[in-house]
Amino acid sequence: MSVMIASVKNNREKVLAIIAVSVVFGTFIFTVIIAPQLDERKSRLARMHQLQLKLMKMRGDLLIKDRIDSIYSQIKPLIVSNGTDQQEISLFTRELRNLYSKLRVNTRTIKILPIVNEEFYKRLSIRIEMSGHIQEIINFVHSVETYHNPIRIEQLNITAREIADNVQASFLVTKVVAESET
Amino acid sequence: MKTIAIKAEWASLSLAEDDSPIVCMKYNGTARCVRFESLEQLKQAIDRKKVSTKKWAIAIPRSSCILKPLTLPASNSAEALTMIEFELPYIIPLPIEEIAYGITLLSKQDNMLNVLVCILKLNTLNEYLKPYRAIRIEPRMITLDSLAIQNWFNNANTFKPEAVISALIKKRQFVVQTCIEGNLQEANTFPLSDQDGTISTYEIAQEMLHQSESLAPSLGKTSVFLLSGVEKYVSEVKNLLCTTKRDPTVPNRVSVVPNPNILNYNSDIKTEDYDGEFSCEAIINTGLLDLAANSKLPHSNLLPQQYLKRYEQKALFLKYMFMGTLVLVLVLLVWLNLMTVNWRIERMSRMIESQIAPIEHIASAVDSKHQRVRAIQGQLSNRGRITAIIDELYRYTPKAISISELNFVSKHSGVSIDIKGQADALSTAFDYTDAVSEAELLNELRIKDAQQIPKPGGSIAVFKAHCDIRNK
Repeated sequence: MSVMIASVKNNREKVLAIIAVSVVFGTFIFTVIIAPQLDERKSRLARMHQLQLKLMKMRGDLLIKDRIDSIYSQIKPLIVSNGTDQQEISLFTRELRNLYSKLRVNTRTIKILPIVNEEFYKRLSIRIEMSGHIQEIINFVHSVETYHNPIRIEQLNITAREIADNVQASFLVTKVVAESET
Repeated sequence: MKTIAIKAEWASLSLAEDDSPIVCMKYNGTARCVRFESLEQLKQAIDRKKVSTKKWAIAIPRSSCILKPLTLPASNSAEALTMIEFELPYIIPLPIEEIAYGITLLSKQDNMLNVLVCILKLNTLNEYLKPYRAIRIEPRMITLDSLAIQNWFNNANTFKPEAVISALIKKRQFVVQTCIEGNLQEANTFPLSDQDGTISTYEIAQEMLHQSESLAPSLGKTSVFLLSGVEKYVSEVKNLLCTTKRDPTVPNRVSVVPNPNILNYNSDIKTEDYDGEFSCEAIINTGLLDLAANSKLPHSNLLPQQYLKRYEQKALFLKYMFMGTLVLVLVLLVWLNLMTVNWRIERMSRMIESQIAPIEHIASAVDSKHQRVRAIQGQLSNRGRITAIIDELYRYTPKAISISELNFVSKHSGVSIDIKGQADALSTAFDYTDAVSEAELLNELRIKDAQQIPKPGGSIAVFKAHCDIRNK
């Protein structure tokens, strides 16, 4: 290579040849030697940061351990898993039916929404549309809000109907089912 | 026996009349001449690293060369040397491959250079170099001995006059040279003894005076006479010059330049008194070393062009090798630096992992409990909220307003309600905001859209409202 460059007589061509060779060589060195090390550094740094965050979170968890244990023991009766998703949904619909069956309401539709699976629990959702006297609807709301299991109304839409004090209501009711610790 | 050890980049070498080599090298900052008994001894000294040099310079007798003065339209010696290549076929009827050539500057007039072309047949050169090559010495500079002598006299004379007439007197011959403005003009070698064997120092004085008189009158009157060589003859010539009646100013212009000291390789750095026997070689070598080491008269180098190109390519190759090595070392350093950084990051990661390991099990158990607790608490939070909201709406909604639709949405950001309703007048609808201002949960009810709609027998105001719910 050096002999080739040396054989070039014209100074301008020599400078261009040196620049070209330097660029090619520099690119080669960067691609083969520098870039992999930089990538390695980037991934290792990211991993180290993840570990640092994990450590900080774990230390935080250790600090609140006693408090969490205490609360956990209080809510432990609510953490009951009854098996498969199918079984859970079945139980949830039954519970809801029990709540509105005693009331004078007309249930129009019951739609089971997809289950959201989190790491340690799952969230079941059911949309119910019903109509009836406003007082009966409020009674249903009250019975859901005072139910012993972790059931909650996320969305509620009440629309007045032509008949006096008669309304049509749509509920999105959710239930959290947590698996007990193994 | 203790011997000296000298290391230098350049060394000059010549053979004395008894074939003993005289080497001149820089030693402790000054040029020193060392005499060896034989070339074999010099070879041993080189092999034993007593004499260590990269480049050798050798002087060729002026009589071995073909000399031709030329006038060329060149601005400098380098340009003139390039022109000579094209002029050579007209100067000497020999192929260019069979000769070595160089030039020395004689004078410069306007854009013309007067140069002396020195041509040497390669056969003659090879014959001359044979003894040196026998001990594996390949010279890097070959120049005329007269140029080396001139350079030595120029260096010895501190006054730097315009013209110098110098005489180097050997045992059997003498050299008289004329130098103007540092450029060698004329050099003549004469035998020192007559046919009957008597030494004629008178001839030397006459030749020096003759050369002085042949100069332009202004130069001749100011020219300096320098003498060196065999001391006995030098003093005789000086006396003759001082007593000459041809020019009464001559005695003031005569100087004797002391001979360089010569060391004997076998006797450490002790100066040997050789009675001027090797002073001529020492003078040539000292002058030659200065020429070579300081790159003076580079175009007088009689080294064949192919050797010069080879040396140039070698030097270029070494330069590129050096640069390449430097670049590689730099790349290696960068790579090592990155490796070190990566290693340190990895070490820190391992340290963090070692801190995580003992608490991981407990912390993950706490985390799982925490997530469950949060989910259940979230689900159980704000129980009875909707009932309370409906209750507040019932209590704070004016009689003149009827709600036709209630929409309750619970999000992570908070809980809000949207209301559609009717009022007997627009003002009643807008008063709704004030009516609920005292409510606990209903926070800032905003009428978004309200319009008066005509009805049979009057009109009603239809409105939409939004209300955020306060956290308890």
